[in-house]
Amino acid sequence: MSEIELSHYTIASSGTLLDAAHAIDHNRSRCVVVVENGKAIGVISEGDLVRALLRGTDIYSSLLPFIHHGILFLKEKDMKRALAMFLSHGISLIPILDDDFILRDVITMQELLKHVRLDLPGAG
Amino acid sequence: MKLLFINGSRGEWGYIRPILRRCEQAGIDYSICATNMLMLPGYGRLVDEIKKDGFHVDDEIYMSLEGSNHYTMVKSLGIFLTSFIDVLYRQRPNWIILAGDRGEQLMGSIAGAYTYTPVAHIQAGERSGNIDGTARHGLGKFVHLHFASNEDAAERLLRLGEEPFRVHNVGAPQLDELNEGLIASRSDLAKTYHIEENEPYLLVTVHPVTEEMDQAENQVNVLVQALNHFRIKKIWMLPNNDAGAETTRQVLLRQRQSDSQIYENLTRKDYLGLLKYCSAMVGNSSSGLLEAPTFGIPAVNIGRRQNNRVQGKNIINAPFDVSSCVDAIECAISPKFRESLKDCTNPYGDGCSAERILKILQETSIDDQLLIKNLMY
Repeated sequence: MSEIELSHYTIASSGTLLDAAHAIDHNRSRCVVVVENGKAIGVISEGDLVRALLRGTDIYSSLLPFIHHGILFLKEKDMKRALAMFLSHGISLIPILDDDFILRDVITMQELLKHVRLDLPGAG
Repeated sequence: MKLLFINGSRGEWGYIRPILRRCEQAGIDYSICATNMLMLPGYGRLVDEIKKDGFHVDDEIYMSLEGSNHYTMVKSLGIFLTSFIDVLYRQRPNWIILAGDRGEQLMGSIAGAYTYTPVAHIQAGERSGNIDGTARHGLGKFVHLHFASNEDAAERLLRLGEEPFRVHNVGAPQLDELNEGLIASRSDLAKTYHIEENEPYLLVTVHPVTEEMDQAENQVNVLVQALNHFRIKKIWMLPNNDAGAETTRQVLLRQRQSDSQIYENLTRKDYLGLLKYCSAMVGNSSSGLLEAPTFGIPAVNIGRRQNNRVQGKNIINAPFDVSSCVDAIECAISPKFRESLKDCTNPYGDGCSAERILKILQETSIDDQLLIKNLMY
């Protein structure tokens, strides 16, 4: 994935909830990785945005209080392990991070599905 | 009998929940006033988990001003006190129940004392470092009943001039759920936290020390450097929102490597599971002293935050310097030290405290003898 493509899945830690909503709208993965100097510090999902709004939070508020620091990630693009994580955790995006927690790539649900042979009638 | 609990941190929830479960079983009326970190998304909004667990939260008070310094801490406490007095006016409980040593509990004791509402305090009389240790003994002068968790704490309360009928040694109620096995299984933890079932890991919590706020950054750096000596997974809990907390959080997130998972909040059940199965606990949380001994888990206690507190044989103390921390962690995870903890006992009680506390509250007459305090020294 090119640097520009990867940037669709990230948002700076200085962003607002509105910025996060725009990023998620754009990447269609229901989630975005929050980065600071290239380093992943958390993730924020569509659900987190909905919960923030339900509590009456201003859309221009900082996203920081709403992010999750407990990131589920892989160190390499291992589709088998990714499938297991998608299934067990119900997540929609897996960041690929190096030892220093720098974001190197992502696995999206759409990308994973291309690798999975669906055992359903009529499925390719 | 109606009990009003003040709950502002995940630590306090550990004390309170076993008592609330007993209240529900016995049909005792209770009310929870949630405040401080329980209300903050950045600290995991524990209030949502409490409601999901089926407990009813009747009052929610936002009190925390941004800033993470000594002045905002005090101003935040002022906000809580002025809000809480309205809760008290509306709820009119028979007892206010306080737990631990944090500032909002001190405010609760003042509100109770000035309105002659009976106040009982869990985890009373212990020594601990930080401004919290001072708050614990400060609020002891306002409350009407003291629930100490061991003989050492009970004796201290008497030496501080409290009348003997007010002091009860009941043990620490947060141990009740450890006894009852309300703990996440290893396989559930493996799924949720992405740890292989046999994979060793360290459980790490470091809170800023309020009187050493200016050293918070250096202290976290020291701990991170020490932990980097060990090729073992680390599961970090983010700190409380005391003065210095923001610095601690930022340094942790900046220094983070791929062998570290960081969480702003965990369910009590998951936390206890992670504690039970970890190789060792590291940091300055009271959980290392209070809860880890029940599971025979080694705990490296760093710095002065838990100064002078009663310790079990599972504790290895170290100052905030890299080589001392490395030595202490090495010792903690050694098979020899683990073996030595096979007969480890918990100095904070037997895990049957909630029932004792409720029985004492039910049997204590609310009269002038209770409400008008006399100092015995």
